[in-house]
Amino acid sequence: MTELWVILIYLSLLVGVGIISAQFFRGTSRDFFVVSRSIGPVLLLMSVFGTTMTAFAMVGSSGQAFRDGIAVYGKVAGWSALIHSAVFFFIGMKLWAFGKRYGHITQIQFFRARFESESVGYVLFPVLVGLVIPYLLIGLLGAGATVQGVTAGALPDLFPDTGGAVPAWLTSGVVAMVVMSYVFAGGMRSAAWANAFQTMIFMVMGFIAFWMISTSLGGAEQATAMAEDNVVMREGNVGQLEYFTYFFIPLSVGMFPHLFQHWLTAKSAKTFRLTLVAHPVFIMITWIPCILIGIWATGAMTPDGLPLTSAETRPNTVLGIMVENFTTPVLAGLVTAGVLAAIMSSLDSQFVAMGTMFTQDVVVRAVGEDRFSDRQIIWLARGFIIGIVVLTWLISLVAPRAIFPLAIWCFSGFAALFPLVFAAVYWKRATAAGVVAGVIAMAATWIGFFTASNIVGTGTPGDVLLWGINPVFYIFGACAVALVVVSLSTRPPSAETVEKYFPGGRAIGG
Amino acid sequence: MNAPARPKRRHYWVYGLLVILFVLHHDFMFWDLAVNVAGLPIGLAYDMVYTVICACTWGLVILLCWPSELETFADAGDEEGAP
Repeated sequence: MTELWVILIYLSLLVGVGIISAQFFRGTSRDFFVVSRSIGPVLLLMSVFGTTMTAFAMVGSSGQAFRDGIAVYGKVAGWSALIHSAVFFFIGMKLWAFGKRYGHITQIQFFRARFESESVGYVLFPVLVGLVIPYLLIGLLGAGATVQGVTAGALPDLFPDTGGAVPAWLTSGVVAMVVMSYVFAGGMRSAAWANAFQTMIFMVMGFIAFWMISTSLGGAEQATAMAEDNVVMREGNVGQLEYFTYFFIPLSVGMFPHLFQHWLTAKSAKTFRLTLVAHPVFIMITWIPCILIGIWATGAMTPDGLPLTSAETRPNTVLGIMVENFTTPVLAGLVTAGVLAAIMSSLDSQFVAMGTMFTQDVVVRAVGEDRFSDRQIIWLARGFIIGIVVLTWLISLVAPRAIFPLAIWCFSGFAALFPLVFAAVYWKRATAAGVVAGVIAMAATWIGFFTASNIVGTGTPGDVLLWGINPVFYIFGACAVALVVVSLSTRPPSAETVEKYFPGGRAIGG
Repeated sequence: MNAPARPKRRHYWVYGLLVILFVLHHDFMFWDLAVNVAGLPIGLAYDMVYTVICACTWGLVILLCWPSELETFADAGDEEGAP
């Protein structure tokens, strides 16, 4: 019951942060979508970091470390430390500059303008939306499962069917409502503030849990010494080529629609400086404690001297088991709040991005911007946000468990689309037909690998390593080859557009 | 009247450090070593140091390779042709 109270207090605080931030809303669509391009360095860092980290950073990382050892850090966090900042520097800052100069708000607007083509928008829009939806769904489903796990037996009279635990559908609904309440009020401004608050919560809670567990196990040295040998090295847990080709996955941040929108909120290029340096450090601060908790779980004992876990323990329950056994109920509630924070800090930006895309790329594009007042555009976006939140929640009620592996594939999908944004910024010869071909090639190979993974295994990318290489390599390759071949075979973009995006014939910023 | 500030010379060799970091991510030397250093498995300790070096290198990129012309480009149009 204590855990439930802590979670409720946390959600109330979050709504409070949302309401306060909405007081600063300037009432214009530019403010609703891109915070009037006024976000400073600290808020950009916190909101970008919160958006890129999901529940996997806490629950998934400790679970994977329990199963596959320390390799999970290098595969995901280690590569992200280098690649994320590289994408922010080489891609994000340039997209910010184009956005500010030419008034782009969504990725589709940028691609349409850069490639002088409506078709690019028509092809890219459904693919981006299709890749974001599973991502949204696992957020809601993950929140529901997390709270159901920690509230078992808390309210037996109210929820007898779930053994007294708050049912997942109810938590998903409450989380969706909380997120909707603040993004409805203040759009991206509220999402950025709430992200900053939530980032602070999940970083601090993860660290406190780590410290308390470490102390209970007699210190880090003793806890690590007790862990099984196979989890403290990479050998036997990951292949060399698989480990290396994981570097493609963090390239996905270059094509996330919600991250694109966060970049556009920056006040100036200098605003990115803090993010470039601190983002890798934040990744380390968040991930290392969770990885250690995961490997410690392999050797941890109960006070009676019995092993706390076994080979049958489900990886995603490891963090909960460790927190429950080695900390207090209040901290267990706070860690759950931290997990919810990690989930919601991605959900809010994704909801705003989806609302923005449907407003700007569909309705305003089809009907014409002049037909709407600024105020009407804001209400249109709010309407879409409500619609998307409700629809996602309804789908989450019937979504099969297979949605989790599907969401993992979505990262591969975004990563495989990276050649498009890279070419848009650095290759003036890239054409609209090339982009369309790249999207189709990516979608076809992605569907092929995804289907194969469901036929031969559990539906995860690890089931279909080809010659030991992560499938994202092949999907990325298919997109890049199609883009290059078709671009070179078709008419180059007009000189006017080339000059607009490559002034003086060179990519902006060198 | 002040003369316009000359853009700072950019040291592109810093990008070479990023390539070196890309290679160094793969720690062959600790791949199958089950040794702990200060409470951390040696592979994870390597990852930690690697991450800190990544952050420092981005600091160097900012100091020595900052694309100051981005600001000028972005401010020149004031959202020209905004959709």
